Amino acid sequence: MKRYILLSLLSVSMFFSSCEKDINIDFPVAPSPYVIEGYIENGQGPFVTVSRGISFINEISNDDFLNLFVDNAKVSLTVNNDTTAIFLKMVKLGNASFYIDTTQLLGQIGNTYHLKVAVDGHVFTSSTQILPPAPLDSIVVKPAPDSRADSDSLVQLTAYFKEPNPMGNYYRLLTKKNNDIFYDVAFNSIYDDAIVNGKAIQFSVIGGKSQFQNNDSADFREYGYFRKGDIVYVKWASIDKPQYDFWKTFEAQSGSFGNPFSPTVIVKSTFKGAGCLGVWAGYGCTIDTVIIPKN
Amino acid sequence: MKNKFIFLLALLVSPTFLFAQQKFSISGFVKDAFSGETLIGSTVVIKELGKGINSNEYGYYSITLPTGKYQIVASFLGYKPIVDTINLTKNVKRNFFLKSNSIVSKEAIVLAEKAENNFKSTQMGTQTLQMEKVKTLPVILGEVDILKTLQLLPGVQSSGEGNSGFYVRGGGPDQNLVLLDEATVYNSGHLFGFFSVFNSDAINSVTLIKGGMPAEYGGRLSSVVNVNMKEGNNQSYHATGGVGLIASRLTLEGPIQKGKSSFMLAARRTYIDALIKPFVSSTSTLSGSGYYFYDLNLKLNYQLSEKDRVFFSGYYGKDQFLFKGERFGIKFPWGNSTTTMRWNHLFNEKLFVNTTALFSDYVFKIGASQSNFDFELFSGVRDYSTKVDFDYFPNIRNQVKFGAAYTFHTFTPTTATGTIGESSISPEKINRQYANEAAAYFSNDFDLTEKIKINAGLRYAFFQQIGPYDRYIQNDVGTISDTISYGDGENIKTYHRLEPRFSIRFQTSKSASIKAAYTVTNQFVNLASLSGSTLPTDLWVPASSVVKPQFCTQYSIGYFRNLKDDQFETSVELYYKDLKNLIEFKENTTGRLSANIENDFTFGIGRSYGAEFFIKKSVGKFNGWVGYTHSYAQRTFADLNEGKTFFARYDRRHDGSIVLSYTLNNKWTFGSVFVYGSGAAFNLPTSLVFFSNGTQGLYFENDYRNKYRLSPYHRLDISATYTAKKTAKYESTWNFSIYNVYNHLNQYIVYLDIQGDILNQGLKVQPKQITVFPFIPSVTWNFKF
Repeated sequence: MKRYILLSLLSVSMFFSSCEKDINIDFPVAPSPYVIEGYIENGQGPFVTVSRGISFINEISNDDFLNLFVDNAKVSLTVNNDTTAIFLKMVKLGNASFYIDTTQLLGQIGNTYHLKVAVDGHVFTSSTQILPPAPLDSIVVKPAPDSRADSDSLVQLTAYFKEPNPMGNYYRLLTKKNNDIFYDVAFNSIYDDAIVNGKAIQFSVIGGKSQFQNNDSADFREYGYFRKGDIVYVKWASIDKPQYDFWKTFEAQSGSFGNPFSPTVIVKSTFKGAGCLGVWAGYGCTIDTVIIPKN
Repeated sequence: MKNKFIFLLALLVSPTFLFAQQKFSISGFVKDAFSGETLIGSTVVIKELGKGINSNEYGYYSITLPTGKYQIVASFLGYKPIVDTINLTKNVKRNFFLKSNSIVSKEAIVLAEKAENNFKSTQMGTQTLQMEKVKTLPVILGEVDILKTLQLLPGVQSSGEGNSGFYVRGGGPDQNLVLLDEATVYNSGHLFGFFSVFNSDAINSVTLIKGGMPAEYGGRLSSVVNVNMKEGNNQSYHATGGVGLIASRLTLEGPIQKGKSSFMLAARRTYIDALIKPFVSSTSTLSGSGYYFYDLNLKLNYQLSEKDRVFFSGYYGKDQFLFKGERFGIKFPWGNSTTTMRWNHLFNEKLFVNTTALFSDYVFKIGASQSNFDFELFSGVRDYSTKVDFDYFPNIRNQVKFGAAYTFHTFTPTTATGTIGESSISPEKINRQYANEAAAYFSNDFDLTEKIKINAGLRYAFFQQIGPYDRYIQNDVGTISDTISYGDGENIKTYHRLEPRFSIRFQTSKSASIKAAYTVTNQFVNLASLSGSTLPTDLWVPASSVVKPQFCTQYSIGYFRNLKDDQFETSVELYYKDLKNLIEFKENTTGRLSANIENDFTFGIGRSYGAEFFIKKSVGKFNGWVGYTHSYAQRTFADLNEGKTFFARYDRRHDGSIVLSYTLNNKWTFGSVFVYGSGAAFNLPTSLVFFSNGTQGLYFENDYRNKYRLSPYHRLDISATYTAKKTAKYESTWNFSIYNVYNHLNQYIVYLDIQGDILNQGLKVQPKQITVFPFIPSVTWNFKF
């Protein structure tokens, strides 16, 4: 919503022949934060990455980026009221490093998982619960609107969902195409039931994609749609409020990147401990498979 | 505390009934001879006593004196004074019809026109601007804007380049009570604040009170902006209008019954949309998009008898924004409407009463559609009010005001309706908030001794939120854990507040005085704004069990002196404001549909202080003013900025302006405005972070708030007004203005532009500034017949 208003503000200011100019700023010098991203879902093991933020400098190269991964953290989990910590193992893939479980720990619905990351003398903790999934009723394949350039080969997916009572449910949507991995819909992956509580609703399943790639215009035209012949996996996850708040603020912030009129949005980390930004995300999810016919 | 009030009350009442000689009153109205328009705040002085009185908002004055022969002078800035000798042996009715200087010959710009109020009145921090004076100053895009002119006064800051929103003495944009013919205007801006809702042709005068707020005003912490619409010429029919770059105006006025009643109808509409249309091809993504605003002002008045007069005034304005993109369409209209009905009645020469019924409504709507998704959001505030205000003139030493007011508020939170595919969304009920607001006040402006004049007042304010309402109780993580439902009319929370108002003037010499003021104010309705400047989406939210009324104590002291036989008015004022129960959004609020928006608020305290310097010359061919403010505005919130004190967004160390106007001859008048201000505070992140899906995020330190400053703001505007033709029947003038003459690229906003691809060539981070208004010339043609 805000985005539309800001968009219109932008166009109004453009009318006033506004002009833009590059400037120099002395950026504040401050220690860069630790960035933690961790997931656990029903039937899957935990997956955690730890990296550093990068201080603002004019150019950030690919090398700078690859050096951001932190491989010396001690990452451990406890389940519910257990006191025994399960340590995750660091694995490397090129420069990238990840922390995974090697003890057959699988997420279970109803469990609360406490994550502890100890690194360079800092300790960061966060907890998440795997909530009971709320399955989608059905997913229907519909033709893409005629206005699409190659609408003949594109389709859109519509999900039908009876939102359960009472109010206070939060969801996250991710999709996977064929052999790719799951991606969220950037800037728009989460839902709450503030206005749809208890109602039967339908909504478009927008295809997610990696944000590492540039969005060139041809790509953008196809963005969100699927191709005939695709096999699409739709992950629909119940999430807890702290996680929702993280994504909500994170998406609001990244969605306003480069938008000069946007107010400052501070991302709400789920972690305790100063100097850290991150999310520890439990998904209580269902995965639906949609095989889109070739014709 | 109690003793203080009793003392105050005693002080208020005691001097009122001192003498018991045979006395009579001189009373009447002060009006414009040509149009019959009321001259608000004109001065009526008894020469023998060197004492006078100001006419009230309806031009009424009354002076009670012992039997005798008196010379009485009625004057008003920009008008030729009338001197009259009155033999007072019975009550005398005397109406003064003053002639404007522009009508009488040039030599008549008499120095007898005194600007003595500057140092003689008890009023501090108050400025009145006459619309006619404002019209010779440079304007942006050809639109004369009274709120932008107010921003050139010390202590008043613009909320952003070219914006009509303003901050007064370190207070928020919602802390200004903007009144149009006594009706509250909740959103005073068009086009996201770039233009004010006040059509210059429909306005008589504007008064700004930023300190020492008299007891008849309340409900806002920082200031009162009292805008009076023209009443309309009751002698003859006239049309006034103008054609500008982006908008045109037309005002019609005239008598309904000559000398007794009149009407004024003003309309204004922009045509940005029509101007752009030919340049936008029908296949362009912007085709079908557009923006316009319009407003209408109507005022009628009728003199029922010598003692009764009724007024009706109304305002209706609307903004409409349309955007049609390939993927979605959006449309949002918003606007205010106000209606005022007033009845003036004179009980006797000494007691004047005005009874008012008011209606004010602000609605914002936004409608959007996107493939199988359609929705409309709306929000707003609606007031029904009634008030009664008495002016009592017991004798020349006292001017007493008392009255009461009541308002019923309805606040509509942002509410969504729409369809998603085949299912429709509408809230089972809209969780509106209802409130009763009431006040009663008493004040007396009186001479304690020859040198000391006091204005003492007391205002009682009452606010009550009533049902129906559902309050959602949130647990620690912010999930709704419980709901309390209040029934129809059920009392949810009641506040009683007493607000003492006190100002004193001590005359130190024939043309100088020292004044001091102490003001307590409470604010029961607040604007929930994320952006720092006012957007039409911002919600008005009442005090409730969660939101306590904002509270301000202001202390001010000043030295006022007129120089060169009153040609120059000068002043230095110092102020200190102590603010409590201030409202901000919690740290991580993104702005969302919220059943109880108060759950997103956090509360804190603030203080602001500063010094204001002002020199004004209002007479002669060459006039204008110079103002400078040095100020600080700080905020402390336990839950924001790590609990550390931070500067408010509108903290401005230096803020100055030079406003000049020069009348060369009958044909040409020149104007110039120079403005300088410290840069506004803004936030900068310290790091860029990456997530596994490739999305980037910004990291701010915990005490990030308003630590950085935009570069200082300055610009020069010039104007020339050419009177092409001026006869008794017809007048045609051209206004040529250049905004930002030396094209200083002021920073409207600074942001980070991040380009590139981190997996390949890397990212480039470039800070950029946006300038909204560079060098902008404009021309406007104005006419009058």
